[in-house]
Amino acid sequence: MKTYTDDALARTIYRIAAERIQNAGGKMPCTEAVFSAVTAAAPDKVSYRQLAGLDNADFLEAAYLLLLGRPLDDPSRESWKGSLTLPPQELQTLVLKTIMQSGEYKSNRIPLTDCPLQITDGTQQNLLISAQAMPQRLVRMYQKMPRFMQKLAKKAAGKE
Amino acid sequence: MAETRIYIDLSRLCLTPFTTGIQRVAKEIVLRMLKDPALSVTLLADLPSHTAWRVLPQAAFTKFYTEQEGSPYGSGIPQIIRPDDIPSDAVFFDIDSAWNMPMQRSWLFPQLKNRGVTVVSHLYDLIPVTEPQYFHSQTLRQFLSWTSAVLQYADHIICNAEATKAALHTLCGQLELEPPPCTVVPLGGDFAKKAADNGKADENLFAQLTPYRYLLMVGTVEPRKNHRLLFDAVNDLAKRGIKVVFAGRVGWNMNEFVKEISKHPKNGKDLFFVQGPSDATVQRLYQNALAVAFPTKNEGFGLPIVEAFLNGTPVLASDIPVLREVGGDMADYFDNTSVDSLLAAVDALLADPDAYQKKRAAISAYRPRTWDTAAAEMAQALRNAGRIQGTVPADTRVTQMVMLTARNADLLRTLPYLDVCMPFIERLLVCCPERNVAELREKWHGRIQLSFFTDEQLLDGAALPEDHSMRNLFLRCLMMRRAPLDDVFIMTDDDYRPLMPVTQECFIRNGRYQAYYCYDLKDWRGTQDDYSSFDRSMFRTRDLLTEHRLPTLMYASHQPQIIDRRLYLEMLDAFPGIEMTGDDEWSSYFDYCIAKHPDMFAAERFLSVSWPGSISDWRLTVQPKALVFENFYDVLYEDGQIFAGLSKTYDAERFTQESAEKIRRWSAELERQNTGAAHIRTYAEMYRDSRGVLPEFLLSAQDGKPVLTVPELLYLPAGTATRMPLIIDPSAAKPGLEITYTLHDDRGNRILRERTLAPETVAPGVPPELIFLMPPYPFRGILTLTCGETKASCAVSCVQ
Repeated sequence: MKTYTDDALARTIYRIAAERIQNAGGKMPCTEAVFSAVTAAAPDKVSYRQLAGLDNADFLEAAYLLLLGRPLDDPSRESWKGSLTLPPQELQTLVLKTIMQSGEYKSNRIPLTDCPLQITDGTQQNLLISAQAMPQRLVRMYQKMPRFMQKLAKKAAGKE
Repeated sequence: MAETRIYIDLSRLCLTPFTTGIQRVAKEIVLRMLKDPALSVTLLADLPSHTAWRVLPQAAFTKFYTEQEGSPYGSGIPQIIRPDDIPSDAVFFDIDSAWNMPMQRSWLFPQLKNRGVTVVSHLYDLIPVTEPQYFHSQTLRQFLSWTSAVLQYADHIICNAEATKAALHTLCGQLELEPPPCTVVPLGGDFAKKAADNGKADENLFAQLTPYRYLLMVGTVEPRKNHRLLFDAVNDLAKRGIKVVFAGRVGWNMNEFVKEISKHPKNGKDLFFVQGPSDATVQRLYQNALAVAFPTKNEGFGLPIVEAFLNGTPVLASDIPVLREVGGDMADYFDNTSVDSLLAAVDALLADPDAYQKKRAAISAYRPRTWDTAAAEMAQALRNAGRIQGTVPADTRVTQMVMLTARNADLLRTLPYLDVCMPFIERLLVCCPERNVAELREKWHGRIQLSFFTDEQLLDGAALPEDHSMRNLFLRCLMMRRAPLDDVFIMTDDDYRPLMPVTQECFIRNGRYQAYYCYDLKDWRGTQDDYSSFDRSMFRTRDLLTEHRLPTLMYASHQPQIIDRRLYLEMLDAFPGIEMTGDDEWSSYFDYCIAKHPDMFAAERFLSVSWPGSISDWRLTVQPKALVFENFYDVLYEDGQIFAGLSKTYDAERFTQESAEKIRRWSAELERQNTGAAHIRTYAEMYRDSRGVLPEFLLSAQDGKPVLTVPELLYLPAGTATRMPLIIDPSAAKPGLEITYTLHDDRGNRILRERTLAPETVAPGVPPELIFLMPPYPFRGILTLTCGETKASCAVSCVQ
């Protein structure tokens, strides 16, 4: 009898189903790599490390599934088609930025962790303007700081 | 006889407006289990975080699903349960469609199994694996993921049908896996006659139908149900004077087929599609049909057959094993790929009207299997799987305690606590250097009898390893093999003190050894800029347990624990050479035993005060279950420390009062840490809501130079320990890379010592982290990070 790691067992079951569906003339809803990444996900956060090793097409599919909780729809797939040849890091940054700036993501609220990519556009914003958009408690915390600290904070964030 | 504690996640049932299919089964079974006095059932529905559940009040649940009143969630503040709140001797039972739940079982089950919770899954069918072409992409992906979690972790599986069990065995055969134990419990069929809706029968439809001159197919129109076969037979059936009625909703991928129906020349004459029929319409359709046709490609059970029989209607069913199991001799069967075969079955019904009437009469006497029977059999299967009563013999008496020590003073200060609080302990075997024995003999005159096994006897010439953890395990292994130990004894250290009277039940309960854990080794971070021997031991143990696919809880809980010497020796045999590895002697033993002897062990949260010694040493991801023992640290009794003013040694008069005071102070400190952690979570969520990312630290590279990105504002509660990940872009990860960080207040005073993080030295599998041990007072300040010539700062607000 065999023993499997969680990932190896999930992948083997995927392959059994993939063979069956191909014999019946169908195709699997996602690649084995995407299936593996999605199966390993925690319900309350998405770790970039789960996605990092995927090729561009798989990264796109997995990012939609994990961050938006739904598969990539056909119009979106079509619109991303031209970007799939970008260098991986560039595409990943673009995909994550697009998803995270969408209203759909903001209502989903699944945080992305461990991401080494610069996906905020914070450097182009004034900290004060950003702070005003932050929830009240955070704004109050910022406002309570001495002026020199506010300056330092702005400088630290490259916004002055 | 103790009740079996069952936890059932009904998140899908509570969200589903119509209780059909699996949700109907879950409802019928659970309502009956709630009345079973041998079961203690807790019903759960998941919270928006999908990492915890709310408990469903049983009265509200029952009222909602029997009288359609109120809400299954009840009213009032819900009780919250997390996976690690489920007791290790309980059963987690999935009867709802768990593959549809956001709390993925591939995430949940390992956590439950880590602590020995029994996992039982209800397997309705394996059709998405065997015939995936019939399923929507999302269902297919979720079901395959769920199936792998079930096969990996379920202790027991309940199937509705032998055919499903056979499919499970076939799949396990393909995977070369040992099939999990499986009980077949066929479903009930005595559904309440009361219509679930208030709709009336569709008189226009019945005006066009002649009783016993139509074939009926009930159910959602979906590819697997094979409506196509009946559709292809419409013309031939019409020639025989037989009409076709489809009743149900339109399911996935069938819009084209529905269009074909509407365009069929005989639509509205010999072919009818009743979309979303009322219960009254369905009931009358059943009663007047020549037969119910069920050409399905595959099924988990086939409740439509039962429903047809309940209405006295004959059934023509696909000739597949599961339908033969349900329909028995009372149904007729045909080849679901052949219109001719279907027509032949219809012809047989039409050929002899007398025989047909006799068949209807026989069917009208049909009495389905009851839901009461199904629920009782399922409950029995859960009781059997639950192993509520462990297999440690009831007459096991523990009278021996054992410790390794080289510190006479500590032992002599601890002994009075053991003497008074642990009356079941009669003897203490002290393994210590020969030179310590005389003093102990001279100075101890208490109730507990001391005996000695010296290091010299233990080592028998072997050299003692230098490293603390290696020495610990090495000596314990020798002790297990050579010292005069009872089969079952309490292992302790010279500074573990009871805070109150403790009975043997603390260590053996319901026939199980109680194993007290304090962390999950997979989460262990250690002090990354200064790993201790303990840290390295935890990493090694994590790797050993992971390699052997064993649970990974940390049992170095710094409190007395019960040991079965025979099982310890078995563990040593299972890990050849472990004596010299320096693994954690508690975790390797208990994690092995929880996995290999689940009938003998129960994992419980730990019971220690002062573990960790400083409460902010690490994130308290596991909270103590109760505070019963103290892990004594001298320094904690100094001025300004948590136990200042309390006795360091046993004082009979003050013991009870001081123990209560220690528990009070430690509980308050725990509460403060938890509140601080909650504040940080709130801050992180607020930051994420406004920025779209968590407040994280990032080291990337641009043009070959490091770039440090920091949160705009860092919020850290006073007196807490916070660890924040430093994410490193691989392109910035150079050999010899070091990041130093310091924290100053707004007057320029250094708040934290400068720390240096060298990512290369971080243990494998552990993310690099910045550690902030905040002082107990509020301040505002600046955190500065340096990497080579690159600097970055962020404002810090430390609040009370």
